[in-house]
Amino acid sequence: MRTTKAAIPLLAFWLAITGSLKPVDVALGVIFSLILGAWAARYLWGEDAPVLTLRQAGRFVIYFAHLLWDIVRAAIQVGEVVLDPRMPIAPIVIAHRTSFSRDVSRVAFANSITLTPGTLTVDVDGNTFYIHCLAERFADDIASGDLERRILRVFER
Amino acid sequence: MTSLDPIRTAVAVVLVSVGGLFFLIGTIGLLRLPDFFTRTHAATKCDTVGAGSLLIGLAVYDGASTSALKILVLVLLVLVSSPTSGHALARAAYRTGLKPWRAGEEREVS
Amino acid sequence: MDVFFWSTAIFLLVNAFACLYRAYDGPTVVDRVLAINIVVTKTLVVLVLLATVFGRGLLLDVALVYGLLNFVLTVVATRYIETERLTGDWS
Repeated sequence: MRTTKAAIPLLAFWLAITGSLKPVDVALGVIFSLILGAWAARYLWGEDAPVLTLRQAGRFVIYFAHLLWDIVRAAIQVGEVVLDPRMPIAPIVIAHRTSFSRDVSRVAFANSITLTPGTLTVDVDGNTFYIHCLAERFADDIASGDLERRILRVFER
Repeated sequence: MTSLDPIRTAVAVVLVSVGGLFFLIGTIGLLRLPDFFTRTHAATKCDTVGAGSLLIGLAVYDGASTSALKILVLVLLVLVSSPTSGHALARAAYRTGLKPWRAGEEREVS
Repeated sequence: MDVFFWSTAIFLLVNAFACLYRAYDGPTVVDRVLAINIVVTKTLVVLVLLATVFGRGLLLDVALVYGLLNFVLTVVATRYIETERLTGDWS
């Protein structure tokens, strides 16, 4: 079962790379993705595989769109800071405690923080995230718990 | 090369130019900002957006084809790997005892 | 259109050389790894630009492998910096 689950994304990747649907290519893809899938299921599988229900998958799409918008905002904000000759930054590191129960949500949270304006995940210790902020006002965005709630909705409920 | 559709070409030109602009901001940030952590801010964000926008522009220029699909796979790769490696580096720096720069300090010297 | 793509590629290469200054100057090891990471991302985009200009799909595969290697390189370098070991459990 795990082998199949691991093999399906591998096969999709193979089809995207080869870009042909000739029987030979597809057959080779199936063979290789099953071999690699068996290996991955044996050695790489964590305790908690990222399985999403259909509703969560729908929320994930919305979340992803929101995240893309945040990324663009973050890059523009970095541009403002960098191009300003006075360089208006006062970095601080804050510790933020969360209530996630799955590794998937922790990964998503850490990466989302890194991609949202003015914040960067520095270290993760269990459910405590150490976050480097370019200025104190960016820390407030994280402390408000908005991002955390969105991730809880996607991955844990 | 066969792309003659003017709207598609215009969209591609705009996206590629925006990507180039963000890459430039990332470069300036990497050179100007005072310490490693702030540089990581500039590097991860600007590179993700720059590479993403530029590559999507090229995918639009290619139109519906295998290469466009491959370019989109590349965009996903950059989108996932860039913040992860940025975080990995920041964690290594933090754990080996690199102190974040505070406002008012001089630039660290080598 | 080719001229536009060529100038973008050259612009990115100039950027990449500017980033190399950070790899040369440091001051810390992580700064250097970060700078190389950025240079590789730019090179990857230049490869895709060249693939578009020349119409060679093969260069896209090169770019893909380059991107994956970039990630692996950063993670392994980070791991080494953090633990000063390359084998055993990640702490």
